[in-house]
Amino acid sequence: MSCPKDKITLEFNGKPVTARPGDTVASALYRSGQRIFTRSFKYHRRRGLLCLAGKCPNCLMNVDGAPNVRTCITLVRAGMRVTHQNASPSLENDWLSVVQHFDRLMPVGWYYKTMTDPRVWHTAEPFVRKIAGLGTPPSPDAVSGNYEHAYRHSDVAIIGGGPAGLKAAISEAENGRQVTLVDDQPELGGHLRYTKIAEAALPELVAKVQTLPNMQVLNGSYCFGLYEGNLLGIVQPRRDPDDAERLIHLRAGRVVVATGAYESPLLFPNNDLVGVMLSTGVLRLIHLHGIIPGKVAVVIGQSPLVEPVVADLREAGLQIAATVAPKSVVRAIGKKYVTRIETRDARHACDLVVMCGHRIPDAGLLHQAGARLEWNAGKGAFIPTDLPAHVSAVGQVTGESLSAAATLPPVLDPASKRAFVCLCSDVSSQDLANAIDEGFDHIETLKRYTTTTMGPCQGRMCQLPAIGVCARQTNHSMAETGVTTGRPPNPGVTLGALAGARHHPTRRTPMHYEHEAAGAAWLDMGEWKRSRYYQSPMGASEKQCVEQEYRAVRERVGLIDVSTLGKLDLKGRDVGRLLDHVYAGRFSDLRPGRTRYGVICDEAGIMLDDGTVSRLADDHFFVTTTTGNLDFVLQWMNWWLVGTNWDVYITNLTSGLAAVNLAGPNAREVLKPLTDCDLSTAAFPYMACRVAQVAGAEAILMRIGFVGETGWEIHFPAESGPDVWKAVMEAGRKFDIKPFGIEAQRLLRLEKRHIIVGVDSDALTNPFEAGMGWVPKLDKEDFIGRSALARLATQPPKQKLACFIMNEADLPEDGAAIMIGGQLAGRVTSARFSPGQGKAIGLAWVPAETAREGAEVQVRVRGRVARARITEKAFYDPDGARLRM
Amino acid sequence: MVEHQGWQVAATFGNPSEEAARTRESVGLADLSWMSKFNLQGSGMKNAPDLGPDVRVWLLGRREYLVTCEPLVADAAKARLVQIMGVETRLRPPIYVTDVTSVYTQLMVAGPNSREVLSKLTSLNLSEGARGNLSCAQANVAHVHAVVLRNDLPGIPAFHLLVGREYGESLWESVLHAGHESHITPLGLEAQKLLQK
Repeated sequence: MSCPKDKITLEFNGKPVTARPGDTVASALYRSGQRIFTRSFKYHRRRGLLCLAGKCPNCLMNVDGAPNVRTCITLVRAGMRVTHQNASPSLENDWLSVVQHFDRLMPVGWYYKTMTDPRVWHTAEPFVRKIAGLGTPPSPDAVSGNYEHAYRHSDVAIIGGGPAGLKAAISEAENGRQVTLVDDQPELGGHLRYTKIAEAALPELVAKVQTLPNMQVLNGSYCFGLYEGNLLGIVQPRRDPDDAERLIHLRAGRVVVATGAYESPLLFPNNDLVGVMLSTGVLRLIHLHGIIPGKVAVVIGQSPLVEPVVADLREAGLQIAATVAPKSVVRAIGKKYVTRIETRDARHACDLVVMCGHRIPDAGLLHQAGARLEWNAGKGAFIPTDLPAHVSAVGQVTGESLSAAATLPPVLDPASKRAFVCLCSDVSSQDLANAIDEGFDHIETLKRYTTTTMGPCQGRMCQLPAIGVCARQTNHSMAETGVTTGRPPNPGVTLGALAGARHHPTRRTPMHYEHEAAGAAWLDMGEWKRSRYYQSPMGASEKQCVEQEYRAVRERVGLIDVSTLGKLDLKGRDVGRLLDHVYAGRFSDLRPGRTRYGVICDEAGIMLDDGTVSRLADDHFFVTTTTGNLDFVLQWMNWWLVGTNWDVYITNLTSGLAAVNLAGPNAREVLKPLTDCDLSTAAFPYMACRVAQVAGAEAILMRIGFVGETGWEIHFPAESGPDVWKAVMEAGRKFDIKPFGIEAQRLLRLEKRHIIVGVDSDALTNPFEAGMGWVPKLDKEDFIGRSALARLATQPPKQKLACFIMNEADLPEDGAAIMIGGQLAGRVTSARFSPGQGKAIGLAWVPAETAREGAEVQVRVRGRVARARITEKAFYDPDGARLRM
Repeated sequence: MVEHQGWQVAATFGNPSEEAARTRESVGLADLSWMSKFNLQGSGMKNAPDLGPDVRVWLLGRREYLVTCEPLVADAAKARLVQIMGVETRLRPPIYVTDVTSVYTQLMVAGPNSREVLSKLTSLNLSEGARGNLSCAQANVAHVHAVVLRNDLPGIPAFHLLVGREYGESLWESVLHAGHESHITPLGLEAQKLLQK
């Protein structure tokens, strides 16, 4: 007698159910009297337990919010919340089951023929959306933090904890190898757990496995894929509510597949009735859970499989009404549950039908790994052959102990609308026959048209019967018909497990917390956090804040964090050669202490990236790239270095340096007290660079002007970031300095017509179209893109990047269409309101003949058309006088 | 926080002896970003230079080494390097030294469960056979490219993760999250000193 502490209470559809330790959810529910476990996908027919091995779709339920959980292999936990799915209002009474009476209207593939008419689709869509699919996904908040990944490495991985797997694992471990044993059942032992063959050996095998130190056992975990390089995908479900469902990436030196064989159902009309079970399922209920699933049973099967099953059932106390051969079964009868079996010559009353079905080697993983599945008539099964290196198979998966006598080819006579081949999507043998008549007579097209083998069971229950029907209807042999391709994941995996824990990397600049304190509104640029603008404590709008930042830079002085720029340190005697080769401009003649703008083009002359190149010493250059293109530029340079034997060594200093741009008419006055460097234009002209101390940190200063004002871009060690930022802000206080964000920067540069590669340019833009024809130096030695650029230089471009100006009220969105004479002629790449102009300004691609001063174009703005005027020059300081002050 | 060799470093997160004890039993996480690091490259870098007992030299790639040491001995190490390099001439194969101290956040995951914690974040094989003491590798850790150095504390396996400085907080959080199950503890400087004994 069990005492209360041995009992576990779970909740099923809101009502408590008592379970015993060792119970699975399905066995606990069965013991409590539940017989209907789910409703079928299409016809909403009642379905009860069938395989009890996690191979069929008949016990899928929602467990603790996760849909489609195989309850027959999920161990019970106290407080588990289980609900049924795909039935409304209840499993017992599902109003959608009325659908099966209209099956004539919905033959297989009916939606391909009816939903093609948009009117039909629009009418049907709301209804279809409501009833389609299986189960309801949980809300993201409910599952957050419940998943993680783990990586394991092992000399040998054994998949399957049956007798063959256990023996293989022990032998490998005893030979000194690190072994990982994976088994999808709650306990090790495979079929030894519920059959009487050599039962005595099991405890010894399991005990041995558990004592070996170099053995890791993952039981209750299923392997869903065998990928290249012996990478196994394994899901370890959670064991208690605080636990995470874990996806294990197991990399193994060798893989031994010992997945055994499973039983698949027989084909006869009403073979899906509740109470029709596989013999292995019945034996599992009896021997693993002590449940006798009925009183009077009919056993369908063939010698020699039937005899031991009958003996076992009798011993358990079941009355055997009859043992019938599969061929003589006419149909099963029963309304809610099976009550009779009709054979050619008799009717047998019963409350349980036990099918001794075909034994099918569970060779899915081997098939994924590249093995061929070959029909073996002697064994009545597809047997894996041509196994790839480092993958082997042992036990019943190899076809061992199967014989054709025991595993008859599928029985199919005659085709019937209620003889279900595919339990997942209610495809009958009649449906398959019809599809074949329609011309889908290859097993692969038959699969796709009927969705047989594509449901939750992934063909475990239906593949062999489907091949049998196909072979028979097309007058081919089983070998000629062949199997469909097996692909991972099989069985299915939760999306949460694939996603894993939310380790979303975030990149913070060294001055991140200075910005936070200043009220930064954040902008996610890839992984970076950048300040879009700084919110005002007075509650001003974004537009007002940006305008204030803009005015600070134009009229006084502003400071922006540009630490996200890519920063590369290039040392060596041949750096100039490399840069000449990679950039379209010339850098070998750059004097130390000077900075030059550079553009990288590809072989077709397309602009890939831009940035600055500074020469700090003869053999020492400092290169900046755009934020998003750092990795590309680094790879690009290293790629072109391969095989050159040039003396060039690149160190990526992006993470090591903080960078700010101090700009505005007062920038020099702000910086002067902080540095030992002479900042006068005579000593430090525009496009010069120096290494000097700034606020106590060793810094690289470059006099460049993306925003169009006198300014310095200053790079200094990251750990000094906050100190230098504070020092500059303090020094700028008397000039009413303001930090400015990306929005103000974009506006300021737009007035200067400085383009952003990747925003204003696209994957087809060359420098000539972008108005930067001065960049490529075609008279230097060969470089990447030279021949293409030389050709482009002689051809007038078809389109050009031009500035435009229009009324503020018409400010278009980035990407808005440019129209000429009602025809689409280009697009806006950037547009902002310019406080300096009092109008909306921007850059747009327009036909080359339109890209002239004063030309008029139309811009589509929020559904209407507005007028814009093209200008040739930059809006602000077109000659760059302010940069040189 | 205390001043340590010119850096602001966490002395303890509460109780140094408990931090040390939990690390010995399970796993601890420390921020060692203050360690000096420099990169050695160039065709003259044929062998790992011997820079003294307190300086570690790690092979990162072809003719590329990473040097790690405490800031106190960094100058001595650099001086020794200059001595080894000798006078630069046009004929001698060059060696280039780049200070990368600021480039990397350096986190140390130490303790018997350190492999368990890291196996949730990286596909790198950290087993004794594959990653012995004083070995180094590069791999993704919590989706971030990292240099992984194994540099054990006395009797305790310890892995150092070097990632781009800007990923530091993100990686710290990821390691703490992955170590939750193993009751990971942050380790201050005091506890690190206890573990060195």
